[in-house]
Amino acid sequence: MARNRCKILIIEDDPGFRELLTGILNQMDENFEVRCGGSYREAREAIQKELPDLILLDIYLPDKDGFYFLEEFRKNGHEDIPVVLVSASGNEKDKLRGLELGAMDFINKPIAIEDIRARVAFQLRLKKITDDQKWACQKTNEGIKLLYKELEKKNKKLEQLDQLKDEFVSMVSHELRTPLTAIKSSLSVVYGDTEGRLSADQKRFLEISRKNIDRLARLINDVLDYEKLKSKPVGFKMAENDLNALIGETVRDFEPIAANKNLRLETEFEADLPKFALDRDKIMQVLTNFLNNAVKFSEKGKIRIKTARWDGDTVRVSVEDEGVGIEEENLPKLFQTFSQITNQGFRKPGGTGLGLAISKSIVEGHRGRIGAESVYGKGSTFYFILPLRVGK
Amino acid sequence: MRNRPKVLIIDDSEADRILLHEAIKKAGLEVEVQTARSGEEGVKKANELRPEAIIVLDTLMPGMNGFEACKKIKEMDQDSKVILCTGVVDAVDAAKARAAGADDYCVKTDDYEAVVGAIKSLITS
Amino acid sequence: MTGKRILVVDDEADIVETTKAILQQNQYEVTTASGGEEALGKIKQSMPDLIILDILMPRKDGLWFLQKIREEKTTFSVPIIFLTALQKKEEQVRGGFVPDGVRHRIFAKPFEPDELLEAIRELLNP
Repeated sequence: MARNRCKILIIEDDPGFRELLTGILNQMDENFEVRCGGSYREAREAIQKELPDLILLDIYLPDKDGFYFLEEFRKNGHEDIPVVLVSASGNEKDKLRGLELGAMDFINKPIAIEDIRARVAFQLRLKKITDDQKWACQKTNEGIKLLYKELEKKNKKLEQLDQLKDEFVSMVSHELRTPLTAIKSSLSVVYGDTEGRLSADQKRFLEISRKNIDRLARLINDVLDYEKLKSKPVGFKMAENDLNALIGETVRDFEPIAANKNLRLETEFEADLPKFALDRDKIMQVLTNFLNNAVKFSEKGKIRIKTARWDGDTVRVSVEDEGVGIEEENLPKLFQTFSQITNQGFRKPGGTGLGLAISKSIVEGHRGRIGAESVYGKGSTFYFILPLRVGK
Repeated sequence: MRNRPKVLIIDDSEADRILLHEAIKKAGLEVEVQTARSGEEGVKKANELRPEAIIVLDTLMPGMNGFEACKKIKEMDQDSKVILCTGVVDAVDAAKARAAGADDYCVKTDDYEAVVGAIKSLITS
Repeated sequence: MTGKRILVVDDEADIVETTKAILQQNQYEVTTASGGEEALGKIKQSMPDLIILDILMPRKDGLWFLQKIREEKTTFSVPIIFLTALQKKEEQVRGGFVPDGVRHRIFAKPFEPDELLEAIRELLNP
């Protein structure tokens, strides 16, 4: 059963002519399957039995004419099967009517063999092209549908995993924070109980315990914070805030820490900065992150905190220090997770390496930009730029 | 002559060969499965296995790709049945598959549902 | 400040014990409960001046207790300090669980004992 058998239907009432056409077609290609009919009725029967790839149709038939058959044929939805009209009339009106009703071509009797051959070959070629494209379309659509189904399945799985992760984070949060609370409170009780009666050493080691509990608590916060920000971009409490006031407050809280290292904090605020939408706690977190780093990596000098209008409707907040600076090649890695730049000759800084990554998430969550500039050995400037959006 | 139909899997990825074989087994198809690792090897094996082998070809392979192999196999044996399959469906590739004479063109999903379905329908026809 | 009674509710025995010790060190009278049901019983016996309550979303005991308070006592006005082991803001966002008119604070664990004591002072002396 070879697939490339072309089925051709000849509807012609003159038996001699039918034989002639059949002969020509069979000679053209041994793979042609030629069927014949001599009337409108026989034509209808034939197409009900099996649809051909091409119909050669005589206009003048004994019962109903070829035009009638053609019109009905097209109305029944067989747009894609080429019909070639054959006629003895040769008249232009017939030709036009035929084409209007959906015939692909028109052949006049008496026929030239080469003519028939060429036109039949042409129509079959055209039909094959259409069939091939339909096939390609259909197969592509089927494939796409399956890919969609698979994608949906995978998404569902991901949602489940995400849910599991959330549950895990909650559990870990509780499990880690509970013992820390008990330890912290216990230390407080001991300290309270023995106040004034502790040796210098005892005080010292109690203090070290306290400091490290706090450090652990911060680490847990950092890690859990980051997880939260990664999975839920929502959760920003946006409200109109006075940026300068917010920053001023954060800087004031930092004064004792800076004073401990003999570092000066200087502020320079853009006057007349309007209140605009931001998440107060989160922006304070970013600024605290910057200030922490500035203090950590500076041994001298001042730290300048500036707000300034930038580029029309944005504001730039920068923290500039006179610290150890950052090498050029390390600048791009700064805001990636777990990156920590160790500096030659200086103590390795503590922390999770998540602070800047979290700050980046926060700033980008505000549709802002974060960045850093530095000259190694001279100092660094960390900045973020926020859009001055009024209202929520 | 009740021989089990033969299925030849031609794919340069070992994982795909194995997973498709598993999927065929899981679907309970009564067939004998052979594999080839490249277009060239595939064409040779198809020649040995004919007639009536069902050939599953990966479109993307180094050396002789699926379309070329399909053409060669069809030239060699008009009655062969060839399925071209791909990780990513593409209308242009589908047209190429048709032009190369393929009997079917389908996507390789994780469960190989479409490929197994195509093999099934070629067995029953 | 002396003579004020505080009810501490937490299912972790160590938390209850250490929190109680801090409060007693600061001259508060302390009763304890290890769960919502026990807490409800305690406040029915006698209403404290302040409640320190563990709220942990997965284990709905704290919420259940609040729900019960809302249902049974329409004139509940004792201030509450919530202790949470989850991210503090998480609780606030999911909030709306505080009965109307009840003054409250939310502390994330581990809390700073001095800050807790300060909050207690504020809540007891409005």
